[in-house]
Amino acid sequence: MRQAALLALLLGLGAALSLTTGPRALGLSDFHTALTAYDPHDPAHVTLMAIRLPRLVAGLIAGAALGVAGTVMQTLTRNPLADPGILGINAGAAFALLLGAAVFGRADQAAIALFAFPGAALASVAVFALGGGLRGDAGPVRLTLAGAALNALLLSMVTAMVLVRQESLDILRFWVAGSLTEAVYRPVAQMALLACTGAALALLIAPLIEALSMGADMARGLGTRPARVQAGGLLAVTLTTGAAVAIAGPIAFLGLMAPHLARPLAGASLRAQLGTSAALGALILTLADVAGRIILAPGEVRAGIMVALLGGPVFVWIARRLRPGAMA
Amino acid sequence: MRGAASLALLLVLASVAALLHGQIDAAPSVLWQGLVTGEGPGALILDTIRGPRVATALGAGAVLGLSGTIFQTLFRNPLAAPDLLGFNAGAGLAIIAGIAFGIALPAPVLAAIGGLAVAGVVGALAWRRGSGTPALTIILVGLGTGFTATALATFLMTLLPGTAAAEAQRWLTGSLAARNWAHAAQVWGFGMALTLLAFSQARPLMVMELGGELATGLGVRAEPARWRISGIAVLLAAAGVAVAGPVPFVALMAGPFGARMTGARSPAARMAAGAAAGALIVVLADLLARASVPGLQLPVGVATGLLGAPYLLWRLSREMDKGDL
Amino acid sequence: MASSATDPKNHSVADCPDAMTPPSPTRARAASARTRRQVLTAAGCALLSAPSLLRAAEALRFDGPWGETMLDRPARRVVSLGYTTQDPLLALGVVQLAVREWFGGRPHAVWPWAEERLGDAAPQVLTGEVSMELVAGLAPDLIVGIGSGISRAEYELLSRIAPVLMQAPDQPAFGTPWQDDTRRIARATGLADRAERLIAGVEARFAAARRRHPGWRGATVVAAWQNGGQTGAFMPGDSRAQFFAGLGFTLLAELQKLAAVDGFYTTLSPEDLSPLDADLLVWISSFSGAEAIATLPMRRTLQAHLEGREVFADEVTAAALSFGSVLSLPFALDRLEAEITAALDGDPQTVVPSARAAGLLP
Repeated sequence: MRQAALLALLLGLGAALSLTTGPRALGLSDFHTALTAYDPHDPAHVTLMAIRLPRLVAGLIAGAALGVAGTVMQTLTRNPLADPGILGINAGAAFALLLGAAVFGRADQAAIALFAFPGAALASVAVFALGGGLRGDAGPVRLTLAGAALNALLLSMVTAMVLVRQESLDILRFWVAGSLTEAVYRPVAQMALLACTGAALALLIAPLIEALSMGADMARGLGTRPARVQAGGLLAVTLTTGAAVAIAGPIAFLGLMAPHLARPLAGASLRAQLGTSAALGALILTLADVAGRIILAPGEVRAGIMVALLGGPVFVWIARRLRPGAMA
Repeated sequence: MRGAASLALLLVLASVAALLHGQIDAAPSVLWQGLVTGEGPGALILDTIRGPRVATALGAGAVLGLSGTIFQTLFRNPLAAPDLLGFNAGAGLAIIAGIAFGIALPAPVLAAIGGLAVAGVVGALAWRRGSGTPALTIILVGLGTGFTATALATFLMTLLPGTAAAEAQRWLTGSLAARNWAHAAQVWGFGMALTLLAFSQARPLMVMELGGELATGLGVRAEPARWRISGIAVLLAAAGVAVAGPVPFVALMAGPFGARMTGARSPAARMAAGAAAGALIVVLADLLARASVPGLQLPVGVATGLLGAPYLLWRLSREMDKGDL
Repeated sequence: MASSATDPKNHSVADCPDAMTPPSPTRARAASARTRRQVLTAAGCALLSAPSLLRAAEALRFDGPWGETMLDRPARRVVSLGYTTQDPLLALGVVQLAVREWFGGRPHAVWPWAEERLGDAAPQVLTGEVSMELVAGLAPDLIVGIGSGISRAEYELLSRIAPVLMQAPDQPAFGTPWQDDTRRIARATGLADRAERLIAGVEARFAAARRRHPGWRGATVVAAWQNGGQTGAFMPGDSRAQFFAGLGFTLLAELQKLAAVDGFYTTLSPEDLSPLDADLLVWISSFSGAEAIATLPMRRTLQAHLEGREVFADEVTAAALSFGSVLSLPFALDRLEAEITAALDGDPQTVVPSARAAGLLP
């Protein structure tokens, strides 16, 4: 309980930072009047309500969604290095996005979300299957390398498309460089709904996933059908990561870090882990976004890059702690 | 022996095909005339357009293939290749940093510094007292370090203005565009010297492959040998990266492919086969990248990515079936 | 018309040998490549232009960022590697052998303002990396590298296929003035007189527009863009900003204070778009970004928006402004004159058609 209160406090603090950091200085009175008497022609009000608030909300949703996705993936595969970002969803989304734009000739923000979602979702399923995740014997090396391979394959295709069509580069930049700053144009509400559905599903089947993570035989003994649980878990991962990528652009390593930080706080229960990991994911992404606004001010570094700068070393740290026997 | 001969023959055939074909096909007679007389379109192809490009591709492929084979032998794991271990990412990061901060060092030097730095970091982080370093730990730590290097490179690229960033991006893909004889001479020169060094380590490498404890028994001090051989292999990879960019998957594919084709067993023979296979892969991938779509020339890195990724996936499924992973 | 000796139509390129056999005796090359063995051989085409050889020899030297380029005679078989140099070439009546794709995927990478001049010709379109063999296979006697962004290594390799015409050493790789591009290319193709007439014609059209709209003189303008999730504006040196300067406008002082990136544009924070609030705000979106502009929240606080002084340059108009060439500038003027008039008539109620079509109206 104390931990939950602490997390809530930290989140509140992060949100306050996110709303107050940026090139335009805002006073407390601006916050008050923006909430009570919104004036669409006042730059201070617009900054607060139409730029910083949607950005904060998108960051919270995407971060929480990736926290859930990472927890489900790591538990389901019994692989401490599983992360949807490492496993090729960003490349998958980028590829689907360019393909969609080339085929349907649309590149507005709604279309970007529309195309990125299935791309991210399909890639995460593909790499999971290719890495042997469904057979329950995906070692960290194997799954990570399968992700690296899929990433490289998709990125080669993306590079080719960008070279052939200059417009593709612009579309890609729209999605990549914009990151959370573009959240205001994206269908955040719809994607939030998808993410919540995924998270709810994960919470619902959490006990079954726990049973499965003890081993397929054990799970069957407890009356669980492994294939169904896996399918359910995969659906939860797909919904959450797809939504996160569609609203926040490419973000890797968040799904890796959040569950590891959550476990010592939340204890053994998967449900508690899911909640804690979601909160931590939201917190990390929000803080990364704030840091990205400060580090090169008045320029910005997108949140995804800030998270990756943090996540690479964390990956190494976890890899070092793995016992040799647990790796295969 | 027959395998080695057929690999050599394939390499020659691929090089000739790469000289003859492309966006425009040249008749063998035209090429021959150019070679003999030093004049005409054949000479233009040989001397300027395709000659240096193919020579650079051969050299870069060979050093990358050799580097991969050495690492795979040293760590007794077919997945221990410099591209997966993050060394190519380190070389790439160093070159981007050079552009971003205006460091006036030649690209090969920067690439070597970056590759060696990452190798040092990976070695230090993965090192374990007593038990030696398990290959899988090295691979994972290498992957993570490579992720970090890539993240840093992406971060640095946001500091660059648009045109410089586009140039850097193109470089990071791996490209053989507009290579001249100076590039070819550079990779061949460094490559030859490093290859001699590498082959001088063939015996320690063979002993190392048997395992650390055995090596000590045979009078080879395992840790220094490991560092020494790794250093040479990293420099080999850097020599390739310096002229062709971090072309993905060549180092990973070359060793197993060469060994399979030739049936080579000893480390020295496998190293030779890996170098030849690397050269073959890059020459063919470049031919594919510039000849397959009319009017469109792709960077060679795109082609090796398209070829290499399925190979890695296939390799993973095989390793799993064998129970190695 | 120029004299017959310099008219490309009198030298049929069809008479020249094809493929990898270069037709010209062009020993011209960059000075840096001088030591290399020359492989280009003399062929029939040389005879056609022999009279002009001596006359032009002195004139056809060009300084470039990587050395001097020299032509023995005006070029006839031209490969255009610059992303926009197809325009001055076509304007001069030189149909290029190959053209570089910039964006848009137009047939033969030629846009509406130049289509007519292309006629039935079908130049090879170059995409991706510059394919040296493709260029060599076309046996050009000139490669136009102005505004192509080729590297020094590419320049040196190309110079051994044919002389490569680059921008002057003191000019940037991209964004050289259209007059300079036109003149330089015209000199290399022996069509200098024609270039002067073309340039004078375009400048006269801008002068006429200035006379028609005396009120534009001194009014402030910003040429803004919205791309890749980023808002920005073009700075004084850019061709798009120059277009409006040519109509008498002044670039907004607040914008001029900001630092230019790559010498031609600047980026703005979404939280402060006040540097865009000029008398005339033109949105130039070479890609279909109307929706991204329309939904930009801070735009709604700009006076230019509230008083209906925004103009939206649609895909083709934006491309014409971005090309900023001797052909595309008059085209852009035709498409924008009525729009600017509607925006600046002093009545916020007047609807600017392009802004309405893009959904930008207040």
